[in-house]
Amino acid sequence: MNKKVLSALLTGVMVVSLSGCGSAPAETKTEEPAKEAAATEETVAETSEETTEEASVEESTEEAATEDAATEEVAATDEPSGDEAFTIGYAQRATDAAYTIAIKERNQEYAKEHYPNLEWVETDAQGDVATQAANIEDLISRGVDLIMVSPLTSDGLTDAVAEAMDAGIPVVTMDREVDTPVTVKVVADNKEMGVMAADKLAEMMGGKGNIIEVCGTTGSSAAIDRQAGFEETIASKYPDIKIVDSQDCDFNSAKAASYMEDMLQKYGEGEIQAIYCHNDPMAEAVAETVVAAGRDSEGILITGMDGEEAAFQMVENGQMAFTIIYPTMSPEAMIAAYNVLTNQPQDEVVNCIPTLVSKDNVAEHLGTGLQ
Amino acid sequence: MSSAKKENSSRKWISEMGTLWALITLCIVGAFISPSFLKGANIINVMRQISINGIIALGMTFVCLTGGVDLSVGSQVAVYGIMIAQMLKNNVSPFIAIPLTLAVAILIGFLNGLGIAKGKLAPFIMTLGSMTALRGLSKYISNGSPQNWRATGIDIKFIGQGYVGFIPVPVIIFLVMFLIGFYILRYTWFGRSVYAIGDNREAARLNGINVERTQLICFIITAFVSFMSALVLTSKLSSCDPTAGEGYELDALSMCYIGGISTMGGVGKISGTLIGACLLTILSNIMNLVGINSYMQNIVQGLIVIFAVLIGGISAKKK
Repeated sequence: MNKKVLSALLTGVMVVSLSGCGSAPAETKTEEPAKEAAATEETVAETSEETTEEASVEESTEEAATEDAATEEVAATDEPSGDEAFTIGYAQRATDAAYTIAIKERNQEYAKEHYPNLEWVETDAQGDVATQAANIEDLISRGVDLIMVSPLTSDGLTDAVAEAMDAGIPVVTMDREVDTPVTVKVVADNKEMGVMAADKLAEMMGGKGNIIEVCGTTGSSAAIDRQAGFEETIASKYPDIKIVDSQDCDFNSAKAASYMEDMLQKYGEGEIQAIYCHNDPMAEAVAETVVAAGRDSEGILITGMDGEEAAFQMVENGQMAFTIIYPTMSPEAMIAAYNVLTNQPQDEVVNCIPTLVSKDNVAEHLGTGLQ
Repeated sequence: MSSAKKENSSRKWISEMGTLWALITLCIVGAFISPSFLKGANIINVMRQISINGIIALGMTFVCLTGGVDLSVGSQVAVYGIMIAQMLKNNVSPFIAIPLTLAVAILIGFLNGLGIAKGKLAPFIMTLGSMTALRGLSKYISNGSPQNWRATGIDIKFIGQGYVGFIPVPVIIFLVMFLIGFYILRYTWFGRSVYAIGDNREAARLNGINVERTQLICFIITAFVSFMSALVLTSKLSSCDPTAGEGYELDALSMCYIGGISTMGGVGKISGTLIGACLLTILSNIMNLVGINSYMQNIVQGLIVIFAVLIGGISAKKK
């Protein structure tokens, strides 16, 4: 009897919530790419071989003035006008995480602004390797001018990518890699993030104490590298720091919270100095759990990774010690793709540098995080 | 029939006692291998952990007793959690957001039940479909991202993290729901209908039981428990992932089956489910305290389900 009312309400709620989450990331991002683009173009234009390191742009650039100059300079030379029409095939691996969505949205956002005549053909594999391979094959048959792909796994997609390259379609891989030569690969180093986290944490801990490690899905390259970088650095450089416990919590906040509840029972007051989490949602859940257990006065340092807006807020209010932004490959991937399409010089590897966000610099990053 | 029933229930009693003994043994082992296990704080902690999955298992018991299964509960948790999180994020008052989500939950449960009772779909098929669709819905309305409302300052942590005296609120919710479930199954016409349908559908119909309506209500119950679980989980974490609740359907089913609910329905008690929930959660707690790798934990949990049903299943087979 009340079904109509209920379904009307449900529809209303969905519409409201959709508009709520749809607009937020877009707004916050608009001014950023311009700055970053300027910096990237500058480095691409003036250096040849060694650009790998420099092309990677940190989100915070201080020398805005010089970059503007550089952009104008570049524009004055043989820089393409940005009006050429191309079709880009975009093979999205999944849409179930803020990060994978951010790769796509931020690159496309940048493209809309700078290369208005690009046409997009999008596919979404929804986390399934076979689907993503088939999607890439479809894009090849469609005859797109370039394929941008964030591969699910190297093993599953190497063949499909090789097929595209053989068909003469340039491929830009983002984030994860495949085991065949591609036109450009845009990457970031998870292991480096582990090392950064270890060094910063050790510094904050004064070189001694106990750490609990809350891991991502075992076997995923992010978890393997974030663990290896961190544990190797702690083991080799900080003999007085011990990782006393660690567990695979699947990058899942509910699992991390439940694990931490158990750990807070196992280790009493003063026995935990830091908790190193492989992503932000787990770190946020851990921080909540520590507060709920009444252990927040001990000053346990909680760290995350990825760069979620919620984590920035927790860093700001002191609930988290720091987080490390995993680069969203944007606009680096878009710029690289466009350079390839317009026959501009482009390095084969673009390495995006992660940024550590602590209390010192969190103000610059608030509002730019993954939503 | 009545003597068979009697035999059934005595076997049932044995298997339920068996699970209880297993639980007690586990606690004793836990106390020996981990010094933290029997500490009061850990016991409260474990009770709170039991409640999130356990709440769902309570509702699942009803569906299982009719011989059905609801695979969509995990996805439902995500949909309701995301709805609550997203509305709060947009500064909707919790007094509107929570009842509205409850209304949606009842609607979804109703639709699940409608497909099964009126559409004559096998519960497995219907809820397999809604599991996939609702998981999609949770990702769609959240745009695939975790939702939190920390920026708004709205605070509903009391539901997930609060205490009344020294007892956590989720535990109170769980126990109250357990008592209600216990009462319904034992003392009401509806509860007896649930058993009767699982025991023999046709006989139940001939005895004047409205099979369709009973089934439909059971799926509204699973939707309701999913909603309660989502509410506790979301308020506990102050956020919700679109992947929240993944695997909860299997956890809930494991708890029911370990507790002696027959896969064919008609046999089992909600108190068995309670023991099953305690067993699985305490097992995970002990393994975490001792530092056992999560893969190994899965192996142990899987084996326990198999052995529990193997032992308890004798009575179900007899039926």
